[in-house]
Amino acid sequence: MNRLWSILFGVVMTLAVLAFVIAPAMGWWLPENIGTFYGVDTLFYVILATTGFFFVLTEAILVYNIFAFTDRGEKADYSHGNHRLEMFWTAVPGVLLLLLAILQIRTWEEIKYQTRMPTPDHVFEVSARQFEWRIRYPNAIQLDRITSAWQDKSEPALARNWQQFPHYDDVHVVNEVHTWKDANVRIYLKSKDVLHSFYLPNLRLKQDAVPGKTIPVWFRATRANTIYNEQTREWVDRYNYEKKRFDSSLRYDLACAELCGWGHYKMLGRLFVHPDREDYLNWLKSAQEKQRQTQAQ
Amino acid sequence: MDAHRWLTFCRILSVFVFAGLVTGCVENDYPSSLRYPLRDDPILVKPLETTPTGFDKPGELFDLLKKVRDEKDKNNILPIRLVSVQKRSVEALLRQLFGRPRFPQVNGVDPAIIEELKLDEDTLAEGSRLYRLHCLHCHGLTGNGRGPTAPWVNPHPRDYRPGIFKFTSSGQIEQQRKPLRSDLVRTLRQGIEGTSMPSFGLLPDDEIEALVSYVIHLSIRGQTEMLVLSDLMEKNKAREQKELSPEEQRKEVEAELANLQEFALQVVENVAREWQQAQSSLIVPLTEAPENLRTAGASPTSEVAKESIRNGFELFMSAKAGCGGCHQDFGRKERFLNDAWGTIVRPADLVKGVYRGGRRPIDLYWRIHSGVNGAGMPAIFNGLRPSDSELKALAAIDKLDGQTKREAENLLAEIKRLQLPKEELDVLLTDYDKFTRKDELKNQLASQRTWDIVNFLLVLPYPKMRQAHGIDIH
Repeated sequence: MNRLWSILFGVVMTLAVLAFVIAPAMGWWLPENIGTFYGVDTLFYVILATTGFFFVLTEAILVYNIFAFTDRGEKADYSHGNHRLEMFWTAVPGVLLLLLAILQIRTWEEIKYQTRMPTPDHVFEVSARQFEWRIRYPNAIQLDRITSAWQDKSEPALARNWQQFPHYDDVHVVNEVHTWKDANVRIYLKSKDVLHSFYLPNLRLKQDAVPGKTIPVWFRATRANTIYNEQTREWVDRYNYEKKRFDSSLRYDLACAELCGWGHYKMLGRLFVHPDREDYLNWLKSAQEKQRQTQAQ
Repeated sequence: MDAHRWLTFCRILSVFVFAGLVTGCVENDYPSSLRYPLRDDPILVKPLETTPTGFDKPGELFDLLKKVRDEKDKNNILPIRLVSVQKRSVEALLRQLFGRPRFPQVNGVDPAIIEELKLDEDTLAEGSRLYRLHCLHCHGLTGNGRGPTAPWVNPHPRDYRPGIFKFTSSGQIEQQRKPLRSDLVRTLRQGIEGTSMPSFGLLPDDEIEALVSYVIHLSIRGQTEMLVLSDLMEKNKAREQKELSPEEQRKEVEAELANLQEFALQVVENVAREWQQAQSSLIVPLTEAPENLRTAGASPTSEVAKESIRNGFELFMSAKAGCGGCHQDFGRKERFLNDAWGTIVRPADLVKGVYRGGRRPIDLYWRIHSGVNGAGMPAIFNGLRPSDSELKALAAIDKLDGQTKREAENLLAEIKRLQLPKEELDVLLTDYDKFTRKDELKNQLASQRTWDIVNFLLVLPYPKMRQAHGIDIH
């Protein structure tokens, strides 16, 4: 009976470790990385390994101590602690933290620095609002103009103007982010009301949307999942091009990762990666035609 | 000592077990004994008359609705004043007709209508389950638009019970106008930009359809309830004036209640029929949209487009359409009105480029054609029909001068755009009395004018476009 707590602690710790061991096999692990930000995965594993090692170590010491020094019916000793030991276990995490901070610089730079972002092939605006993503795409001609004006890495006035003032022939879509394979995408991220966070788990991309600010975000998706369905005349996702069949694991979610209100969980969107630019432009044209509908149906 | 520790251990463990049970065992549906509560809030007969000076602040919805109650007997009905035997009978009757939240039904209606509106019990049960998940917290258990989140969002969630829906494409008369199923589907799929209604576009088709069915069920139920309660209140009022003894009063109430079922069945039948009729009364524009709207990629600055947009601009400013009366300064000037639900609306700012009913040209066409129901935006279409005298004057266009001449020339240009056969055009321009398709022509002109206004509204938000078309709004 005296050792009950130590056993309980031990069991919980073992279960926690076990959960991590079986997670990949159970499909609880990270979704497939279809982007180019591999640094995020590397950092994740480095941090997981470090914290995992120390978690097991400290828990083992804790469980052992509870087990070994359980109530033996004697008066307990009182200790003032050991300065040297304390210095040691403060310095080691401190150094580790510093190492991590240095390690992540390049990844952060790759993802977040506007000056390091590649020249975009595709540009659009995402406006988060309670509780949906409103997305505005330039039409094909406008897209051409913007991307060809973007010769080097600095943002042309044309793009800034498009981002600030909606245009007559923009294409407006709700909750569907469309792009094509291997395109360098530049998003102007905005919020119409409160803080939201634009989160694409498959691309390892997460960026807060802040009201009053326009934040540039970039990514490149390297795996297509969208195909034109001849029967329904719509583009559908989850298509596996290698195996030529539909595959539910190829659903790329867009989620809100910042608690933004009661409907936070409703802010679910989809990422559609078309196989090439042409297919994307076909979709864009169809979306434009839908928006231009003049027939009553 | 050991026993004491055991106890502590068990206590702590039981807290976790309890927490697990509480969070893990929620039924994914309404309790089967739950009933729809009887309506007890005032029924608004016509919009309030006091002009509001601004929107209500977050959380003030109920203060706002109190005004409806304070209007005394002028334009409201207070069902709370019914005697309890009346309330009980109405509740029982409604339960018999519409079931309970877990098992919703629509009884007493022609099976053909049930089939057409997809109001069968399976669809409604599925719709009810989904409604509880996605809609209830705003739109409320009975669809009264008073869910827990309702006071905190503005515009407030729609109250389905008066049977009025803002964005419809059906051509019924205003008092009976109901949305098509496709209107409700579109609202669910697209959301309503500029309000708190989000898009539910990622739900599968059958779930959207089930939700639409359930919304129709709630609306028919709410409207039936509203009409039955109003009828009883009328009768109470009449009886009070007769100065009967309590015994006589009781007898009369009983006699009325005996007839209640028949009346209610009639009401359900009528309301359901309105819904059914809506499904086949889609407004189809009589003329094709202007070329620049119709064809993808067509330039909005071509000569043809310019003519149409210019005409739309002039119509917008004219007394004929009367848009500027409410949308003052193109809607940029704030102005507040009472709507049919007792809440406050403002005419849309048309320079913003946010369209609640949808941004497709056809959506705007429908808005202008038949207005925004319940919000005070009237149907414009009939006002856009030219009069006989205007058409007649075309024969003697050279003799006119000043403003009338300009108007006649405009009308002539519009008629030319309709591209009538030459012989017909000759008859029209020389001897209007002999022209055979007078009514059709007027409707076609009104339709073309509606499209012109749509065309104008779609370029209005964009400074460059305004410049290209010579539209000065400052």
